[in-house]
Formats: sequence, structure tokens, C-alpha cells
Amino acid sequence: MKTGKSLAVWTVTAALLAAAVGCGKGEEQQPPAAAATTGKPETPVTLNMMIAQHSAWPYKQDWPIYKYIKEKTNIDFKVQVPSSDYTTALNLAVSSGDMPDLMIVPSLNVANTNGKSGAFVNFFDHLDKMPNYKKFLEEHPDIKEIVLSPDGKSYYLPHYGLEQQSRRSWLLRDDIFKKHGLTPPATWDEMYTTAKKLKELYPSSYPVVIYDGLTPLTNIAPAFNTWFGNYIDFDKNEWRYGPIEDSFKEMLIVLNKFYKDGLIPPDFMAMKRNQFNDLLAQNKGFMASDYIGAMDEIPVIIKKTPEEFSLDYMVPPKGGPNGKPYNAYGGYLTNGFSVASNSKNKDAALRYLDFLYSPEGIDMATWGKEGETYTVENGKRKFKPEFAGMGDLRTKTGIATYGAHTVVDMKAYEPMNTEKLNKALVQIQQGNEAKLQPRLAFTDAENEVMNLTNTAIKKYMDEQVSKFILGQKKFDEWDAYVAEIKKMGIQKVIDTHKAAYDRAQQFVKKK
Amino acid sequence: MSTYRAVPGKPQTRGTPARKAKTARYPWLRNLKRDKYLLLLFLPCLLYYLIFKYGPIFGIVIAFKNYSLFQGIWASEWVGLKYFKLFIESPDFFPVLRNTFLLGFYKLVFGFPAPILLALLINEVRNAFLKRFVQTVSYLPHFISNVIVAGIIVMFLSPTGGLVNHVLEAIGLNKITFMVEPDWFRTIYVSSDIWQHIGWGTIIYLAALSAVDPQLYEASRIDGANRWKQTLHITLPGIAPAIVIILILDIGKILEIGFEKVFLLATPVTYGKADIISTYVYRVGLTNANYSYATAIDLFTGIISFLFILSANWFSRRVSDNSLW
Repeated sequence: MKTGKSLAVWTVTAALLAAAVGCGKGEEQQPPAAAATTGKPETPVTLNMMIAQHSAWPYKQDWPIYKYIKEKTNIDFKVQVPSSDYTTALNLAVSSGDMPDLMIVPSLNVANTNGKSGAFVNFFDHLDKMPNYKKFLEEHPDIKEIVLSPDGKSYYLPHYGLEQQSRRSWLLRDDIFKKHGLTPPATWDEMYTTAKKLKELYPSSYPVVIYDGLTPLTNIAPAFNTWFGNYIDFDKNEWRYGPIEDSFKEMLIVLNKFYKDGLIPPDFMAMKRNQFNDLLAQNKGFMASDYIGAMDEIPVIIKKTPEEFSLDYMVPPKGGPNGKPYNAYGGYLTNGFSVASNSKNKDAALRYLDFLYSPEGIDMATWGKEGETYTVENGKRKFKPEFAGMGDLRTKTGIATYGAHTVVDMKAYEPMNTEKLNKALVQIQQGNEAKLQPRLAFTDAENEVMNLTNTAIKKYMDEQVSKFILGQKKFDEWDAYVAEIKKMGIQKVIDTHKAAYDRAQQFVKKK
Repeated sequence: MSTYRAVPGKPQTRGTPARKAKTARYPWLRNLKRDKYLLLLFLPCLLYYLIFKYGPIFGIVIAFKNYSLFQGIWASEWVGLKYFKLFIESPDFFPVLRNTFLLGFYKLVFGFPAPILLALLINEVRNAFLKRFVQTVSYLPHFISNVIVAGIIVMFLSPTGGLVNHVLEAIGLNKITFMVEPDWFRTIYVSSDIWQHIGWGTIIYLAALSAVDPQLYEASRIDGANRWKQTLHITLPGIAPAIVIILILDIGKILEIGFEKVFLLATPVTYGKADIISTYVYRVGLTNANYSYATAIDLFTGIISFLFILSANWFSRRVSDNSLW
């Protein structure tokens, strides 16, 4: 209750206040640099920018990366970092009309909604001023799909590179496996036998650890040749709803078996990351579904040496008769960049963003500056030894943080990973991931279907699926469950996805 | 907020005859002058209500519009009762309303008497130190944020190392997976709510208790009343007005269940019991930036809450002398 009202109410209050003080905006607005889009103009410009920050590397005003940007582009930044709820802060900025010149937007959908109402710049109108971005789009045709609005415009600039680290993956305790002479399971049946053995060896353990509501299903479903939600089957070029498919039922039957035998934590749905880490740290979990980078991060978080504790990559086990060794690949980061349509420094903002897509910009955003963040030895670049890892580099310099990059070259950071993580990053991309699902842009009418029908179905589905896994519902009731979902209008939702997808395909072909 | 009236019988001697004539014609002006410092003290409170409570009421219009952030409130198009219809026709309408009402109802049934009992108990304690100690400790949980409370609950009730399940096991009972049993949800919510707010709730009753005339107790002791009789016939009637007023206010708040704690304690399997109006608003209204819909739902529940308060007040006026107005 409170949240609903106060949000709406705050929006309104802020709008009123902004209207009252709107004229008092005392910022020194430099005239837009009339110079050519490439090269460094003579007059310095100050841009206002609003960014989301990562709690592990919060924004610092004296981050050297902004010094390097200034050297290259002659642009200073006044950065606003909303403390908690980024979406609300962004909405307030938009509704007050006093938007920063540049802002990080949390999703394509947010960019499109605000773009349509006229708040954001349509980048396709300015491609002539953004030759590097234009080239980037041509070189990465798959990106085009995720920057479009339903009417074929584009209010969103993508990030590229960092998504590599956030791949979902299965991990296993290779030290424990070695100790007991176990081999990594290739199928869910084998996983069951392995888990049983581990449970005998460690009776108080839960050999397969999953956590956080039903999110683990996202990564398990592709191995059973289905999907946790609406998806396109690329082989048949057909949109379907995963949770009502027979292969999905097979997955639930398997998970129910694991649950009954105590092979997954009984309260996995209520568990959060710290409890997940605890189970691993106490030798109570040996196979886990998490992010691939976790194999390097978790030992640091739980303060264990490689001798005591080691995680390694595990090929996703295949499930059911049509199973595939697949993880779900989430694709590019959802955060993007937008530019305010009423910005007085639109040209400078576009120039900066275009710079970030240029080879020079990518190089700077990735590496920083020679002599300060990296050195060159025998023609090879190396980050200075004072940066212990990528997280440390980001914390100390601001490199690869929101606002200071769009594209980074992930190859540069490989030497900071462990060898096994680098190997895993290669392996996972060689046949261990389902094909990336398209990210769709919905029209207002379609959004309404998604907001109402799809949200209602998802809630019903989540609840029923949980009950099937926990054995609170018998599988004889499966048909009734499928019938109910159909009755709630799943076909309308599937059709909406198909329409949005087909439309996007048209635009991609045209441009 | 009570209006300040002149105390009858108090002589008003200051002021010239001319002024007297003026103030006689405008008695409120005289009061204003006399109470200027009190009013000045009241001013921040008034401003708070005007700016943060009354001003934003204007924003309700977006419930009847298709609100676009950038276009603003006036430029957004009117859609009439569209969002109210959407809510009432949605398949979630009845479950969500039922869950909200039941949760609020249990909270009232069990949570309302709890602070009264505690206040009565504290009132009987003779040792002043113990009394203050109990009071302080019991209202500490009120200041713990819901996020932390939810974290504590999840950890205590965890079957993989939670204290409660260890105790259950030690006395030979089976472990219970509390967080994924829909039937436990309301119990967990309501009992933790009592723990959080019981001490805070006693403050007002203890204040009311201190206003009970001690002579009444003395008189009753002479008449031979024991402690129980005293409680029954003096203490309880003495604080009855406070009880009734708090009860009426609480009835008005039945549907007003904070979003945070329910959201944090719910798991997908407990949605059947844990999906309430505010989590629904969050899901369909706020995560999708559908502010008009969210406002419409809020307005709808606001009206229902208002009806609750009206009827509770009407009922109370009928059966007792106590009411809000």
C-alpha cells in the first residue's frame, strides 16, 4: 500500500517542486561545441550524468578514468548517483523535466517508454553524428535487435563486453570429487546417483545447491530442452510457453525426486546468496547453479585457500530424453545509455557516447592510461601490480563502471582471472549454452497484455511449479494445471511475443 | 489536531478599548493573539500535513489518466475508470483482496490485544527498574528495519541450521520447512508482527493507565477487591476510551499491510496466501512503471479502508460512549 501511494505521490510532489524551481537552474551551460564530431574541441563542456552504481565499487569523484576521458574529449562530468532505488530516481528526473544530459537506463523497455513520450533522443536520427556507433552496429548485427523500440526507433545504447562474466553456469567442488574418485555427472540421472553417494558420505549435506526462489529453473530448463517462460524454439521458428510442456514436467519430476531425498536444500526457495555461500563453505554442497565468475569470487568471500576449497566448471547435465548440455545465456547487460531530448548539450553527449564506441574510446575504457593504470613490457600490456583483480581495478580507477564505458575488451582482464575460469569461459561458449533468446520491444497495447495477463499467469505458474517440486501437489494434477494456464490466456501472451518478434525482425532486415 | 478554544471564565483584561471592539467582533483573532506561541509550535506540524499529506492528494487524478512521466499529469490523456475496471476484473482481484483482508484481520485479532495485556502486566510490576527494563527491551524490535527482521526470521526458521528446527529436533519432533509451507505463512507474519510492535503499542496504554485515579484503587481495596477485581473493574474501564480509539484506528488499517515484510517473507510456493494488494501493486504497477494502475488500486483500497473506519466508528458510538467523532 504505502509503496504504491507514496511513489506516485512523490512523483507528483517532485514534479510540482521542479516546476517551481525549474527556472533557477544555475548550471553553467556551455554552448554546444560546434566543432566536428571527431577530435577534441577547444571549449570544455560539462555534462550532467546519472549513473547506477555497483555496491562493490561505488562511484568516486576522483576516479582517474574521468580524468582520462577529459583529456581525450574535453568533457567534464557532474555525476549523480541515486542512493538506492535507481528506477524511481530516473522516473523522478524524467517527470520533473530536469533530466541530466546522459543517463543510464535500467532496461530497453524503460528507454522505449520514455522515448515514446518524447523524453529521450532517438539515436537513429543522429547516426550521422555518431559514425563509430554506426560502424559498431554494422559489425554487430545481433545488437541491433536489443536497441530497437516497437516503432523501429532507438532510444537506448547498449553495453558490450561485461556480460561475459555474468554467464550462468554449473559449478562443482572438484577437490571433493577428486578425493572420493567421483566423475562429474553428464545427465540428471547420473547426477542423482552422484548426489546420493555424496549424501551418504556427508549426511548433513545437500549435494546439489540451488537457491533464491525459482530462479535456478531458468538455468535448469534448457538442459531439459524447454524454457522457464516464453521462448522461441529456433529450430521450428515457433514461440512457446515452456512451463506447460511435457519436458518441463519431466524436469519437475526429477527435481521433486531430488527434493524428497534431501539432495537439494529443503528451503532453497527462501535461501539467499549468503546462506548459499555458507552451505558451500561448510562442505554441505558440492554441485551448484550460479554465475561462472563465482568460482573465483566465492573462495575469496568465504576466505578459503585453494587447498581447502576449490570450485570448477561443470558441464550442464542433460535432462530427459531430449536433453542438451545447456545453460541459459542471459545475453547483454540490461542497462543502457539514454540522452535527454531537452539537453542543451546534446551534441557533446552524443560525441562522448560515440567516442566510447570508437577504437580509441574502447581502448581507454578498457585499459585506462599507459603509465598510470598499465605498463607495456616487450610490446605486451599489463595492468599495474597494485590492482589485485578486476574488482580492485574497478574500485580504484572507475574503469569498466557505468558511465565510463559502453564497450570493453574482455581479453584485457583475462590475466586477472584464474586459469580455470578462463578455460571455463571458453568451454561454456562451445556448445554449453542455449541460443540467446531475443529481447523484445513491446508496444503499449502489448505491454498491457504482458503486465496483466502474463503477470497473472506467471504468478499462478510460479506457485504451482513450486508445489510440484515440493510435492505439495501430485503430478496427476498436471493436466488441470496446464488447462488452467490455457484458460488464463497464455495463447494471447505467446501471440504477443510472436508479433513483437516478427516486427523486430522486419526492422533488423530493413536497417 | 484539536482546535484551541478560549477557556470560559478566564478574564481577558489586556488591550485598548478600540482593540477590544475589534476583537469582540472577531473572537478568533483574540484567540490567535493569545495563543500565538502555541500556534507557532503547531505550525511545523501543519505544514507537514499540508505539504506531505494534503498537497499530494492532487496526484490522485493520475488514477483516471494514462499517466506519462514526461508529458506530466495534465497532458496525460483521461481514461476514466479504466484502471479500476482492470483491477476488479483481473483474476487476482479476489485472492489478493481476501489475502490482504485475512492477514489484516488476524493481525488485528491477535496483535491488538497483545500490547494491552503487556501494558496491564507491566502496570502490576512493583520494581521500578524491572518495569523500565521490560519496557525498553520490549519496544526495541520496533526500531529494527523489516529487511533485517525478515532476514532474522528466515534464518531462525531455516531447516538447514535454524534455531527453531534444532529445538524441534531436540525434543523429538520433525523438522518443519516453515518458509515453503503456505499454511505457516500467516502465523509467521502475525506472530513476528506482534513481537515487533508489542512494546511500542504499550506506550499509549501505559500513558492511559497512569491517568487512572489512584483513589479508586484505594477505595476498592477498602471494599475488599483483589488485584484481579481491580484490573477488571477499575483499570480496564479506565483505559477503555484509549482501547476503543486505537481499535477503531486499527480497523481502518486492516487493508494497510506494509509491503516490505510480506514481500521479503514470501516464496513462490506461498503466493496463494502471501500475495496481497501491496505486492500486487508492486508487481503490476511499479515494476512496470504503470503508475496510473498502482494509484487506482491504492485509491480503491483507501476507499474501502475509509468505509471500515466509518462503520467501526458508527458501531462503537452505538454500543459505547467512545468514538472518534
